[in-house]
Amino acid sequence: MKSGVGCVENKSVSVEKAQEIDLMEPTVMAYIAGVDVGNNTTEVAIAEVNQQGKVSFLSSAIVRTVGIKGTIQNAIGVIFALDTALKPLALQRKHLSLILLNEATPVIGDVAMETITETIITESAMIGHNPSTPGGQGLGVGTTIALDSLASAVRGQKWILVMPETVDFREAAARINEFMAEGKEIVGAIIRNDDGVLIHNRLLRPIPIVDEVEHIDRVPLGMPAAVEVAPPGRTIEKLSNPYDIATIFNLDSEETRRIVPVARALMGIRSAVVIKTPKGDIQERRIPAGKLVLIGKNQKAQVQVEEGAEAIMARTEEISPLVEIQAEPGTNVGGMFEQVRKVMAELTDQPVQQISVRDILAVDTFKPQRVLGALAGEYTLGNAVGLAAMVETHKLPMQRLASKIEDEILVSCAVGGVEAEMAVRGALTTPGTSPPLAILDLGGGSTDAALISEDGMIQSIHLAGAGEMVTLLIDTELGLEDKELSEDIKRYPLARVESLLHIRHEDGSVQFFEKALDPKFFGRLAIVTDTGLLPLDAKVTLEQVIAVRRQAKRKVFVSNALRALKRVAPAGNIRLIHFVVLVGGSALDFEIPKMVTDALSEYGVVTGRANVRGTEGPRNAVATGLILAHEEKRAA
Amino acid sequence: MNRHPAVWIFKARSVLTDSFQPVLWGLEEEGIPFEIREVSNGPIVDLAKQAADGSPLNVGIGIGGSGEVILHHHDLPSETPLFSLTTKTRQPVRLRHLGMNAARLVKGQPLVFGSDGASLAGVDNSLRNPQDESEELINLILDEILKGYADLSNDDCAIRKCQSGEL
Repeated sequence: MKSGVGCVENKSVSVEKAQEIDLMEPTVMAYIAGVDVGNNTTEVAIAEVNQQGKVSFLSSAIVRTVGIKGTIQNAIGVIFALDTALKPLALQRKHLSLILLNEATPVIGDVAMETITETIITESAMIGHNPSTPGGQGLGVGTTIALDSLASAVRGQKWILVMPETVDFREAAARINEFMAEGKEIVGAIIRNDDGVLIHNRLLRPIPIVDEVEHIDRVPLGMPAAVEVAPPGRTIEKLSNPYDIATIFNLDSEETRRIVPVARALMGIRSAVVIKTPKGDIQERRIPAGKLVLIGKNQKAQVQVEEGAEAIMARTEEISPLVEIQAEPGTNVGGMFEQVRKVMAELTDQPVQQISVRDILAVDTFKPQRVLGALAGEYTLGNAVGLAAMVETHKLPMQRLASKIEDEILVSCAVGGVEAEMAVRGALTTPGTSPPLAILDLGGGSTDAALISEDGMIQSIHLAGAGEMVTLLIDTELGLEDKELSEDIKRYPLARVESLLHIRHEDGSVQFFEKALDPKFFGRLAIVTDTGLLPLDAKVTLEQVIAVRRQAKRKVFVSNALRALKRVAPAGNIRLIHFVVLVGGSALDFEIPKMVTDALSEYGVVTGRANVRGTEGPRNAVATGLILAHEEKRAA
Repeated sequence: MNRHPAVWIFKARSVLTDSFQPVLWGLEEEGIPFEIREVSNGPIVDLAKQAADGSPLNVGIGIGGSGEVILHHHDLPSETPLFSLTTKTRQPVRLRHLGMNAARLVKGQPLVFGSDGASLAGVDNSLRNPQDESEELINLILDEILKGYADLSNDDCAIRKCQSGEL
């Protein structure tokens, strides 16, 4: 398989001590394995070192990390990865003379979502929903009334009919026609069944009809109401405008202010109902999510989470370099911080007091929220702040893991160098790279950057927020509540199933199939995974999903790439970095590298994906670096 | 029958329109026109397929003498209709859904399914697209990796796996 000899040896040693290799004492030829246990994947590189200390890489492997990074459970994944890499070489574990383990950066990230605004509607006052086929069109304003009460209803008043599911559409149409003939003014209807068009087609005088209203029994009768249905292809105009609602219901300025969340929730849909209830109240309130205390080297500041991500990040920037971030105990954000610290404390066998949060990434987002007391399952978009927090301690118990592996497979196992340095060494095996150079490690739990100067000095930084944060944002903004599905949305492009035989990919290209697709896919969005199509049932459009997906990636990775590079750049100036190499799992994403590249090109930085050893792509940098560093040290 | 855009419905001579009225309501609610024609009795699948092939909208419905209802599409092979309802399964709700689905096929909108998953006939249910053999091969290889002993001479596999593993 890979004979990465040529490209490796020179590069690896050119970092520092090129000449010393030749002075080295002859050693016996040996097989060495480099192992990188990451948050999500465990990577292995196996190399042969000959008597002159020349390193030739033989194979690599990648498996899912078993257990939380830094725990004994990792051993299972490591051994599995070793076996996987050894198999094609026809070697056995006992042939290995040494296993090198990464000194995993003791960094653990966690993500959480804090809702900061909430719309409360008491005594449901609106129905804003999008039945696929409402009836009629236009605006009707009147008083809500049941079908049976119409017979005794007074003339000269306008009525909005409310109909439960027990009424057949033919009967409904016939009776509406009768009442209209009697001179009773029926100006709109709210109905339970999906019969809007059927009723409309049977009326002598058309009225707007909103159908498929789930909780029709909750619609209050005898109240002023407005029904609006827009023509096909249009969205409602009146009920999505607070001043039009004010005009319809004679609202004063205070009442108009309160109706704003309703109007906003009704924007962009084809049909809606607004009912004015005497005691009904609509409030948009901010939820106290707690405050953060930012402790920097030189100063200290406080910021309320409900001020939003922009404010939090701006304050963080002011206070930087950060030493610690504390959260107000007893609040939501306090609970989240406590959780991260607890996990880390257990992991490292240290008291919780010694564990501190070192970095946060805050991102503004929105969260669809079910309206309390809703009539048709309507929701409003609440503002929220997504938070990724990162905890750093002295050292993860990797030594424990090393002993465990040694016990299990009887091969000596040692903890190698610092992760970031190893990653730089590995990244430098990318053809066409040389120091000075920066690497950006776009991972699942954290975004890391490291810079190697011309004289071999390495500086590194770990920041909160990476792939998992992107998944959380997608999950929240699309209201999916399904992490696996969100993960797939993040990872793969979308398509629309346009007919039983073809799909249109999100880039517009069309793919045909020999055999008909499952009719369950028809007309829906699908995620184009490696193994086939995955239907997306949520009521979202292709454009929405793409926009949310890209925004989430940009909010996390572009801002973190800039933040991280600023920290390691000479004088904090990204322009002074000329080359950036991307490594890590998220560097394999189909759009993240381009986003980061575009953002960095504004600073005149050349950015590209690493190709470790000329064969591995952005993968295996740390495992490769471990072996190279070890041989260098021996040479020295 | 003229060439107005419509879903064609071919029914056996003995069938009364009343017996499949919900199908027509389903089409009407979705706003798609239909045309009904009486044909001599024959296999209903063939009736439905002929209707679909003749319809300018490529969607046809066949209604048999004993009340079976079949929804067909021009793109599908004759022997694999999209939905079929037998005398036992033809409750009004399902007839209405079949009518709605005929309309939604035309409109390109997601189909409706009853809580029991309706009655799918003859269409491959697997989520995998039946694209080509290389895909199957990749899956086999992936399975092999998952089983524990991967052939790492295939580098792409490792990358593929890690794409699905992380990120």
